[in-house]
Amino acid sequence: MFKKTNNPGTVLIVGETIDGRLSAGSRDLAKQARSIAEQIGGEPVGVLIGHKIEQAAQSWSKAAGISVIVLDHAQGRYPNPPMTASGVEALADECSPLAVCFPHSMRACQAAATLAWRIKAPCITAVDAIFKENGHFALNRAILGGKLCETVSTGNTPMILTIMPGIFSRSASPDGPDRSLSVETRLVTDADQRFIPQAVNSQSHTDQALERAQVVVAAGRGLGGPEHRDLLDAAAAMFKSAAVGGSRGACDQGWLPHTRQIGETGRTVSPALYLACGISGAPQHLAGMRESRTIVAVNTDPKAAICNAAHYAVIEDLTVFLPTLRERYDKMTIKGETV
Amino acid sequence: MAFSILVCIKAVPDLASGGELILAGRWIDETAIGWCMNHYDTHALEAALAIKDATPDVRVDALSAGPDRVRDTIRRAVAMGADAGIHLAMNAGGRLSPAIIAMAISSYVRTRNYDLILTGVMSEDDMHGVTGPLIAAALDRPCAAAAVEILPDMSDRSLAATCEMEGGMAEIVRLPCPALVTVQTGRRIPRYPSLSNTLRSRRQLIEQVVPAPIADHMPIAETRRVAFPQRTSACRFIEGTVIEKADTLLRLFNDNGWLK
Ligand SMILES: Cc1cc2nc3c(=O)[nH]c(=O)nc-3n(C[C@H](O)[C@H](O)[C@H](O)COP(=O)(O)OP(=O)(O)OC[C@H]3O[C@@H](n4cnc5c(N)ncnc54)[C@H](O)[C@@H]3O)c2cc1C
Ligand SMILES: Nc1ncnc2c1ncn2[C@@H]1O[C@H](COP(=O)(O)O)[C@@H](O)[C@H]1O
Repeated sequence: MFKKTNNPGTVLIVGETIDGRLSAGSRDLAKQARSIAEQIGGEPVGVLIGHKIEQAAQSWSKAAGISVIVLDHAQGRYPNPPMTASGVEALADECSPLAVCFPHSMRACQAAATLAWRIKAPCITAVDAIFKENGHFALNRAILGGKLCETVSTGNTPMILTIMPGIFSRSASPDGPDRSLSVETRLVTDADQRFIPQAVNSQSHTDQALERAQVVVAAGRGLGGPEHRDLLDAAAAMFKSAAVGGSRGACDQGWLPHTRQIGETGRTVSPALYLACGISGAPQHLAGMRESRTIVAVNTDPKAAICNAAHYAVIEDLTVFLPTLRERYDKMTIKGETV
Repeated sequence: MAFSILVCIKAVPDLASGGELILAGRWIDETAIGWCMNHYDTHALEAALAIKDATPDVRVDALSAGPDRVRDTIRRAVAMGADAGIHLAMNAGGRLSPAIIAMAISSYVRTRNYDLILTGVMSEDDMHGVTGPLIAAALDRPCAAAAVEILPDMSDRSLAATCEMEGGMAEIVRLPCPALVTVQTGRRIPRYPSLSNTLRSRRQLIEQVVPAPIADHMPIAETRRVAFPQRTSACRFIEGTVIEKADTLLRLFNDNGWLK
């Protein structure tokens, strides 16, 4: 699997499966695999961890355009970070990679940290750019909720990285001659017996309003309190097809139901219009809505990260702006006035 | 038998307090902003205090590593109900890497035997999401990440943690103690300091520990610079009075045929 001759170095791309299926983060990582390896200057080799995942591995390999090593263990049915770390450690021993790249999920961060600790390698998470600077690898990552971007560098390999979704994706299919892709399965023998999976809740949502809506009116902590929930409903009612959603910040407060949470750990939406009111635009929120066709931010802070992702921004207090918007709309529809 | 919990709390820039983010060297001007307890850590502390409320003979300590300013955050943890506060005195003159923090905290923990260590899932300023798992790796303890609920079982000194995965999926895992769990925000709103605990926090000594110098450590990535992000989409800031802004948006909505 690891080519010995003229090998510029291997870049391990590590994916997770959940009950036999690729996790969303891993599906996304597949699209990024070859560009990531190119940025680093190595040959990508996929590593997929789970139990009975031949099929998932085949499709992951095809989507990424890379060969894949499956690490199989009965305890890997759900993401198992200590097992992932052990399995990848053995592979890293074998091929001395330039980098080991995980998707940026919390389970993968745990696996990355465990691996980094064991092999004494630098661990850099939530990477959104990779380049070379003064002979060292330089990586960009968002800090302070996306308000700032930091550049870190390291001269050590392997680097253990977790990669933000959607950053290095290529729309075109893998270029170059058709590669013959192989999928090879190895059994993992060693698993940490102290991490004991019990059960999985995957609430199947019957509430599909967010996915169906043409317009999503979303609120964050900037909403200020449950008493302002009406403002969202009133705004949503202006549209032909709209649903109300929110950031984790707003849902944790109980201002909106958890089924309406948008982001990495919530729903993913891509409506024609996403109206983000009082949402700061943390990377985990953007993960669930950045594909929206038009993004409009209403925020008191012109430096909020959401403004970097938005097409239009209105710098106003939402408790003033949303009622005004509704009033102007009513005026327009009642009088037939054109605005 | 007694059960002891250590909660790792970090003092982070309080962006809601209205201070300005001013770049200074490879970091921000720390004097221009206020500090508060990392949001995720308030949830970790709340989780620990909830266990203490529900179970006899549970002790909760709160620890923060950093310069003297973190002592206010530790005091806040005592005011919320922690039994004791510990300050791991580390002067960074900037930021501390998760590996350095994990080494300092793990070597402190080796001197006390905590049954359970809680950290936040992520710090709001550095956003690494690895310090908890690194501490667990350093101590060779089982670790569960992104827990929204923790149920200890004192009969066999284990715990069940409900851990978030993606898209609303959650997994329940069981860990034997001593263990480490990283805590994600959840529906339980962290409590406010009570008057009696606030008074106690003012009197109580916050223990200061100077970590032993770290000899051999994992290579760390060095921060080269921080910057305001480049605008990726050409965002158009809509100008005018509130009414003009509303009208501009309505025109946009109308032109696209989204309005009723
Ligand atoms: C593992 C993990 C998973 C996560 N998953 C998700 C997820 O799925 N979805 C998600 O959303 N988050 C998620 N988060 C949390 C995320 O990091 C942020 O903490 C969260 O998105 C912040 O929510 P917010 O923007 O509502 O609040 P804040 O960051 O507090 O922002 C509030 C915003 O409102 C603005 N504002 C304040 N008052 C007003 C006003 N009157 N009018 C207008 N604007 C105002 C402020 O300027 C600010 O920009 C996750 C975090 C982790 C660690
Ligand atoms: N200086 C510190 N002192 C105490 N705990 C910390 C410190 N830095 C990080 N932590 C803990 O580690 C968690 C994750 O931080 P991070 O890895 O930076 O995202 C935080 O939520 C804290 O619980």
